[in-house]
Amino acid sequence: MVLISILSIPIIAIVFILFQQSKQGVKHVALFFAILQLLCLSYGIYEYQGLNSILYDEFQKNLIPNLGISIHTGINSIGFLMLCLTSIITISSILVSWSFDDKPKLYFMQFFILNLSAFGFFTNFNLFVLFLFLELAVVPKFLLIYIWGSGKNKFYSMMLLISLMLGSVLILGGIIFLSLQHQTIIPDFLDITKFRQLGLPYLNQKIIFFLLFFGFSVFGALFPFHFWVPGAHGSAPTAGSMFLAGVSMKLGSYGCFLVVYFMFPNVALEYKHFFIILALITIIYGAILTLQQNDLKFLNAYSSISHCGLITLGLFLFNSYGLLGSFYQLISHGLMSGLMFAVIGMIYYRTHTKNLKRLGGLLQNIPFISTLFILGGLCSLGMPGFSSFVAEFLVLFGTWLADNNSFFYKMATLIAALTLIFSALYIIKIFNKTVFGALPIKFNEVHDAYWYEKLAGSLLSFLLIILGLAPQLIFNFMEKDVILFLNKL
Amino acid sequence: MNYLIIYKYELFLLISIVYLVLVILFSKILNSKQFYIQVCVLAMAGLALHFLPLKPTLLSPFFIDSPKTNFIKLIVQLGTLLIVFQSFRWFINHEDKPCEFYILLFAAVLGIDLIISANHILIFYIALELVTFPLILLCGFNFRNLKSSESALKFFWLNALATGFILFGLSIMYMYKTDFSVAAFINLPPHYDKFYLINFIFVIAGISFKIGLAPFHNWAIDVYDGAPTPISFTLNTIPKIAYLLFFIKLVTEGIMHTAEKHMLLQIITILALASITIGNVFALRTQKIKRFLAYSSISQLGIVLFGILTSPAVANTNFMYFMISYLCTNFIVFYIINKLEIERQIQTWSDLKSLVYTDKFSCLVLVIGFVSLAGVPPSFGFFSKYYLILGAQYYGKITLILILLNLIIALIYYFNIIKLFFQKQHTINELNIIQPFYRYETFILVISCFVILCGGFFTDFYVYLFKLFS
Repeated sequence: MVLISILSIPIIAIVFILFQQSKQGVKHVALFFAILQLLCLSYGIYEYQGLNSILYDEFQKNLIPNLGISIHTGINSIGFLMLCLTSIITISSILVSWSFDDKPKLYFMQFFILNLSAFGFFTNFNLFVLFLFLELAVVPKFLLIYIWGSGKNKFYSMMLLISLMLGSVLILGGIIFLSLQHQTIIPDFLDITKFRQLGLPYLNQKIIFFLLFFGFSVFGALFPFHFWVPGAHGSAPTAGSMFLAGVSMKLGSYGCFLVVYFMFPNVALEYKHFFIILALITIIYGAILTLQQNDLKFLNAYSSISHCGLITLGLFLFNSYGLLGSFYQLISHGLMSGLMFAVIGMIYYRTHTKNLKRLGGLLQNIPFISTLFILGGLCSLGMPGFSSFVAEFLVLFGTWLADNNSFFYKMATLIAALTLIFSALYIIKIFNKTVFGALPIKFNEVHDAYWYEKLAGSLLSFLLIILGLAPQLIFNFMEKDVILFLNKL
Repeated sequence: MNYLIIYKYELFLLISIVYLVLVILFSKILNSKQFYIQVCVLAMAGLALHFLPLKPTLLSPFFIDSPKTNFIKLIVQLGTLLIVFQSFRWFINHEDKPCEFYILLFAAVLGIDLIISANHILIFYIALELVTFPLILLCGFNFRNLKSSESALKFFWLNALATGFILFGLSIMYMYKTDFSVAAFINLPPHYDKFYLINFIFVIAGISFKIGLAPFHNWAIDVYDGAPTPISFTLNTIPKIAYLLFFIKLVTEGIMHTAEKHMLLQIITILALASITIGNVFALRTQKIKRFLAYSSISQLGIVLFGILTSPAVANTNFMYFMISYLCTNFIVFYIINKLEIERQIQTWSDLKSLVYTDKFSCLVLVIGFVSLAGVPPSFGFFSKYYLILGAQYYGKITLILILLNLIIALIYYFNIIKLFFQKQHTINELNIIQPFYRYETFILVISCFVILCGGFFTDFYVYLFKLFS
């Protein structure tokens, strides 16, 4: 019941928004439904903790047996955490765009389509249905950037569309190849939980693995496929980039996790060094590119690439520290990039510039927003006491312990740890150039955060600190599932 | 009576034609609201025929009546209804001879129904002509426009050529057989030499010409451009159902079982690849609206041609499933284009710049249509293409990669146009007088949009189709 209600709430919200007359009414409706979704979800978590089943609200049905299309839904603990993240990001991005007046109906409708896509993706286990939910978000993302974006949004929206479609064509190719290999032996051969029973030839497994993994990593911004991220995130509207960085990129990483742990662990084990090298390149390359940026949004987008490299690194360690750190980074980075983009949006709204060279001294005039900015920055830097410290520490620890006799892992740990230095460099740089220093005269009149911005910012930063101080809350919740994934290998 | 019921669609269309002739002769209701309502009722009554009790299949030498043909004719009737709705809009501005228009339209539909049911080469050939001639007249229906007459003339000459090809192919059969049923044409005689296969090649070429597949596509572009928009829509959809069904029968039951099937299937694969690529590449650079739509439909049909290289049941299922989505999608796109053409005399896509600021509903419908044509999930268009690609058996990995790459090209040109609609415009042109949608129009468009957005999720329908055709 919880699953049906959380999936139907976005659809109902879209219908309600469609028939709203006033511009302010749209926002009230959107906020109401987003909070309702979070409440339903909390009830689900409350119920799930009492149960011992692996999947909450599990449901299976064959739809087209000879094509392998079936429904298999259910939520595990990772799914619950990702759904909570999506829900919180949705609420805070609606709050941030409270004063938004340019075609708000279309804007918030697209928001709920994005929300639906994420909710569907985290609760389904059939490859074809996963693909559908992943693709559901592509057109709304394109329109969000094209209509409401800033800067070179026309070019970057087309780039986003083409590169995401490239990713989905790779996934589609994988699904088609799989279906052609395998017909009418098991009626739901696209169900990823039953994937190991198929017994495909090893060569075919390799081909399908690479198609699917690279397809998902286009969405998750792994190194050779990261090129669309900065432009898209940099030119999207505030709430759009919050959602893109906070949730949509996580869909790709979560997809990679499914491919590696559920479908082809043996192929992944064989090629793990290759993927660890890719992840390291992503981390370092992203960080180096970040250092050279002058636009706040682009800077944050490049740092997202670097942080998402850690997720991939954690996935391929195949130990509990790596996997836990990887999931922790998924959540922590979602909240953190949401906060950073929200604050950058607030600054842009007041000063009409994102360029580091024209900003400065904001702490004197808009202390609340600057404080939020500092909190988000410290989290991005990996300061102890914030959630990303836990995640980075776990991943690095896992890398060191992955193989005690291997020189490769020791070097990998050292290289990955460089990200701490790089992130300190760029975060201190933007602190100096935006919040500290002399205040340009033209920014004297700007207003500090309004109530909705205060609410959204406090919510996100509060969660970041809570997750940093009490990681045990999350570990206890997902411990059982992580051990299960590793035992299944 | 029991004997007549197997001809229910054909008899009904004949009665409609006779009725409309009587209206011309004796009635004064022409061009009034009453007349259009009557046409609409006639087209809808055709849909109701589907629910008449079905008699056990009659083994007639000329005619097949089975649940399959019954269902296909239902879809053709549905297409006719959609065309009738489109033409209402057209006749608001062109007040010439609406009655003749519908007589010709129903005659063409009669021909299409006959092709679907034909069990004899003679019936097939006559029906082929019966489809073509009314459509030629309909292409030139806007006779005050020079382009329309040009398109009719082109259509006439070039389709005569195509029919010649088909007739030549069929006549080779006379040298080998005394039985002229369709089954005998498709199944090979016990002793044949390679010369016999030439008839297959000629028939394939002729039918590809009529459908407008790639090397034979040039006529289609000009004809679509010149013909009245409802007729472009007609040419685009329902005759192709009939031609392609015959094509599927020929491929899946005949060519697949010959010893030289690799050569013949290669010809079809080349046709398909050429259609997809040429359609997509030319659509990328085309600015004129109807020429663009013609190119895009060529590339769509290329994918169909891939999908039918498999067993008869799967091919028919996937093809009909595709055709339903194709019908709905093309309907909404052509409907809006038709309306905007009458309203603003648009020629190219750039005339539709910043449509969202002047006409929100049209813009939304067009975007939905393009998303489905581009095959972006989760629209109906994606599901139908996915099933077609999965169903096909006879192609290598390279062809598959080429098809998938073409999907990206298709995406680029459709979204280039969607981008135009959302471009910011500072001064809104006052001359754009917007005619409001009638209530029935909004209703039909919303239903079609719903089908396009959610149709793919009703997987039971696909399973039903598969059971029907196997």
